[in-house]
Amino acid sequence: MRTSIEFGLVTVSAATIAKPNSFLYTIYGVFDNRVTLYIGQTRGQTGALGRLAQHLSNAHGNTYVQRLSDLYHYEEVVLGRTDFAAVRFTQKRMFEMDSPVYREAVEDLVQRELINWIAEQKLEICIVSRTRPNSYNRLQDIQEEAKRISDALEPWILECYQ
Amino acid sequence: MIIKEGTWDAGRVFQALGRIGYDPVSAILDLVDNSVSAGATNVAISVNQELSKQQEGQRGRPKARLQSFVIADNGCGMDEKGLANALTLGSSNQQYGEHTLSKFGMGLKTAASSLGKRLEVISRAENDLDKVFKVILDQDSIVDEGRYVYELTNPTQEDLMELDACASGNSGTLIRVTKLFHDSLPRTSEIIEGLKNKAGIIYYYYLKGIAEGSERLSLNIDGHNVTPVDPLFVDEIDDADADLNENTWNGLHPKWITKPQQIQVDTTGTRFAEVAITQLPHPPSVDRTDLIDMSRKDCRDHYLIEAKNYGFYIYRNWRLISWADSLGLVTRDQDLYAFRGRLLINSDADDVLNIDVTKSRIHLSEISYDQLRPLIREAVKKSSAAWNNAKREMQRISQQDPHDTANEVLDRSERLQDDADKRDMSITPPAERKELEERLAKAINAKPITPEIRQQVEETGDRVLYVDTLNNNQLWERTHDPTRGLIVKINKSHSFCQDILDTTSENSNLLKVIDLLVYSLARGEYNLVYRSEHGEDEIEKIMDEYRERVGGTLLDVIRTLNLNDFLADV
Repeated sequence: MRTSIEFGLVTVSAATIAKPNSFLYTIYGVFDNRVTLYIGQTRGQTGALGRLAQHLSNAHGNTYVQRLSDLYHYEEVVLGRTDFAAVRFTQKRMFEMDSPVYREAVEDLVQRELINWIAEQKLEICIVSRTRPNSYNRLQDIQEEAKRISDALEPWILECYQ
Repeated sequence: MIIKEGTWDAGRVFQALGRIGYDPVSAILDLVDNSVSAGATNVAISVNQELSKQQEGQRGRPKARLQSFVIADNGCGMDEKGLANALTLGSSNQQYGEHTLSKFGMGLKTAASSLGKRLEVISRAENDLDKVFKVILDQDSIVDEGRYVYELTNPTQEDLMELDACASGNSGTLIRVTKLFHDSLPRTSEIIEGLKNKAGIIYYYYLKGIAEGSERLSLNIDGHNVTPVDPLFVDEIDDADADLNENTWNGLHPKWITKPQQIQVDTTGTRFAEVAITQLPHPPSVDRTDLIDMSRKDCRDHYLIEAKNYGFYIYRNWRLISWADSLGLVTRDQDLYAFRGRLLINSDADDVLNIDVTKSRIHLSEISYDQLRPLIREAVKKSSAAWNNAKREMQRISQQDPHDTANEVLDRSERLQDDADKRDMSITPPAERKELEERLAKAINAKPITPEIRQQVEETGDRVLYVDTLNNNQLWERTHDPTRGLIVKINKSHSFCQDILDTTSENSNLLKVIDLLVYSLARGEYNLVYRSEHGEDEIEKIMDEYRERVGGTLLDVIRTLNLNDFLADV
């Protein structure tokens, strides 16, 4: 599979997204005239920006491009406008561990919340990421974190959409 | 190129239409769908019998046999044109609203053809209440004529009386199916029982008056009014304690596993379905408690807990189309008897979900499957774990629990170990002893017991305690009770407990061994912290990180396993 990218305006407003912290991020992309949204979490040496680079590459870890290729049955994925937002996880041990289990629980809840919100707002956005819940989804800390992050992302998605 | 018109044998086609896979209950309720789509608020189903004719030379009393199925409603009715459309194969559904139950315009003909050879439709349209039309579609006539024909005629007095018993002189329709296929139909009582058991769930939203764009429906089957039944029993969930915690659930009340959640069904992001999942009570637990006055049987009957009823209830335009569907994701397992899911879809998703002619099967699209699969897998795991937890609590009360056996042994061992420590301490030179005492106090204070755990320890006397969760995904952690000493907590939310121990809970020896092993890990850590020559603060930090890393590694390993294969021999 090949990827080619036709970027419009690309902006990075905060250098912290390249720091090795824990992030929940979203990729808002227009592909084949359809609006797609990818939700993920990361805690890598190159931060959220490094993870975005992987997603858009032709190499291993380009899950976003891979998902577009699988879902829309395209061998070559030509990305149109692509926006990126990342929210740093609260500085708690549970989100900063190597094991991603708590971050994954938040990621799943954020994805679910955003699907509900998109349906309610009647936005034509397809969420292409795959998340999986785990037994920590029900913890209050996890639910509060997911709510905080969803609340931060929703206005940004609306801004991209408009 | 020459375009030629194909031919078809109307008689044979009608015979085939009746055999597309209807059972009589589904066929009758498909006829009711037309009433619902016509905006009826009153629908009555009658299953009529007659005395069978005595064959010459036959002895004994004559037997009752099925004579007709009649469905009457007070819907908008049809005029002559409407009736012609209704009898068209592939009739238009334009006259119905947005949430029509119709799809291919075949329901009336196919459902009736599966029950009998003769279909009569008597109708009074709302736009002309002075006229009542009647049409008769008889398969024998179609065969005789060799083409698709039906008869337009005047209704009889009996027809009008039957229609108005429901329509009360206003608009409405009466469907009557006769010349029944007696050889393939079950007994009358079975059909009526089947209708009564299913209609309350199938038309739940209409009977309750909460189906979008419809008024409350009153459905009468053979003289009995049908009451709405929500297979998820959502109304019985206590809002103050609504979510299922599989580790602590006592099995007595329904709980949410997944509150209503949207999923996307196509890649344009414009079409959605709603999924919701609940956990119903555990009948043996309900039976044993004094808190609820309900026997095990009453509980099963009330919540419809049996093998054929767990799974997903799929509603299309608020009407059930699939009963207890596994969706290929809910495994056949007794531990899932309390699992109830619901999928609400609209007809706008018919194409992407491949709804078939009987509207009883769907095929999930890739995106909906992607979004549903993890959610259902986790829900299935929770449901099974909760059911097993309730079962274990029962066993704990009624018989020896394997954890009790392990705890007795470990309690004795811990007391001996504690005594040995004190003896060691007493013969240690004073200066060294002081240091050791300080280290010991520090080790104990580093992991103080919480009031909740202390209460649990007092109630159960357990040395190894399974707790709801532990910080940072640790599998175990030690704590110290001022009177009982070392207590070991095991994290029930860790994947090791959820995916491994819960599925092997029948293996009591394995459970005992795990208790022993984890206790020893914690005991070893405690000894290390206060007896080591290295700084105790540093060791404590290292051990904290070690437990976290073990928890993470164990999770990683479990995720790489195919658990069915891995646990096949257990």
